[in-house]
Amino acid sequence: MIAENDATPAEIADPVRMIIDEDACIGGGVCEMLEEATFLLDDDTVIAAIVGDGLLARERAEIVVDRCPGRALSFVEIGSGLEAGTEGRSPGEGDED
Amino acid sequence: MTSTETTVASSGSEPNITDSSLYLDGVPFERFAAMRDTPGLVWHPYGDDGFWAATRHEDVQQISRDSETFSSAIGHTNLWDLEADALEARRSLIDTDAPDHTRLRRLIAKSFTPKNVKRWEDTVRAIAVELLDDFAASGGGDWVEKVAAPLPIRVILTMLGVPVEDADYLVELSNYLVEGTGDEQSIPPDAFGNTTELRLLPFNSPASHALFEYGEALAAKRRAEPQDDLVTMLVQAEAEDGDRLTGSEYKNLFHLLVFAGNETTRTAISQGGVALADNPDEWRRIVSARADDDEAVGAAMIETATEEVLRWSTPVMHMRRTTSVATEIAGTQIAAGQKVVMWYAAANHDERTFTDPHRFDVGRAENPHFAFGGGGHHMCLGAFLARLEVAILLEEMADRNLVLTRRSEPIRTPSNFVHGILSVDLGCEVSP
Repeated sequence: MIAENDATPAEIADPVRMIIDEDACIGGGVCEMLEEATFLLDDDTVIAAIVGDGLLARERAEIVVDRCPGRALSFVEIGSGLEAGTEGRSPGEGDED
Repeated sequence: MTSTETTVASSGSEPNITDSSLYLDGVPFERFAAMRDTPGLVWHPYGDDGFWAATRHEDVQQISRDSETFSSAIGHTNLWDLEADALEARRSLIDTDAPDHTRLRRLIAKSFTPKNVKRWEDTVRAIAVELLDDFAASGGGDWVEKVAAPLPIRVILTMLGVPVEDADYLVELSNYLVEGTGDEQSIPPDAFGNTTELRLLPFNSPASHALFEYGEALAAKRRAEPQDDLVTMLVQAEAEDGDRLTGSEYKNLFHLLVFAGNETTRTAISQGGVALADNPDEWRRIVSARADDDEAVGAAMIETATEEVLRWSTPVMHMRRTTSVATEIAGTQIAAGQKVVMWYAAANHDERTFTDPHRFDVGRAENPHFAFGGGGHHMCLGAFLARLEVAILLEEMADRNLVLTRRSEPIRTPSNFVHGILSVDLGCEVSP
């Protein structure tokens, strides 16, 4: 079941936009467990994908990034020009450390 | 290697944390606490050489997440080294690094995602209800034999597609495998018609030969006549580049699923049952939350209680890595090719991470435990299935108002690896 992500930036405190590195994803499913309204593993490839606008509160985003077993998640500031999803991840941007 | 400027464990009268018989009296928590308070990693003699022991949460996490520096494919992931041919013959998902690991894992990860695991909820619940009703009707008994062992094995066999009538045989094989993690085996090397050298078999057990044969026969049946089950999925599994499982990969994976799907969750439920019997106030917290008019209260409690059962039980007490390059952890210099052992049993009781770590607290809010490993690529594949089984068991016990009481000391598994209980007599009453 896909939960609907109808939150807008105005409703999320300090929102950031999630980015997935497809090559690094191992299909561990931790993101889907923690934030089922934002992440869903693809049925065929078992690679995580973003549902909806990919926005999460910064505090939650930091937890999901930290727990991802494949180290495949990062986030960017809203308005950075990068779209949510699996493309457009530029090195250094949105990396946690 | 010889280490000069390091703290050496188990010199003199310190308990030797690799001695399996030590664990007959439970996890050596005091020794682990002393090791956590020792700066750097602790050098521990083992065989002709030794390993670096990581016992703090922070250090275990750092090692676990860096699978390039800390390899799973070199040597072995258990304390002892395997010869190259044995390692190849026994290699499964556990003893593999990227990119092989990523490829293998993606082939089977689909069946273990949170969403797909939830599809088995009704199956798990039906088995749990049947076992609990029988246990309550007889007023209790051996919690391991009657509940903790049958629940996970029946669930994984159902998922794999093993016919019900063969379940007892696979349980028997699985029990022999557990023996292989200890010091003595009760069956001869040629049991089950085995002709393979034991060192080439997982757990050095002839039961592995029988399990391989069973898995291969089942695979042949499913190739001929596909079903909606995990074995069919495995024989049909094909990666994006057309890659399929090799014969060796398939049989080791089948073996891993039967063993891991059985032994580890059995341990979580065994230890969890004892913890609930020993902490009646904590059990009452679960029952009353579950009875709350607001369903969210009960759901939140089941979630935190499940995680606490997992932390408390820590079914796998350690895993080993081997350094691929020279590195440094917690100020300790480690050369390439050395063994580094992550002691989850110690990290899960680290007072730097867990408030009051020796308390069984079913409402624990912050609980970043390592029951499924310390994070990174090798995070337990069955984590969500194990969570589902523990959670459903807690729900059904609470809704039946069952109260467990301790009638015997647990008889523990003599193993430094698996935190198992062989048997424990628990009373079971329905609370008025």
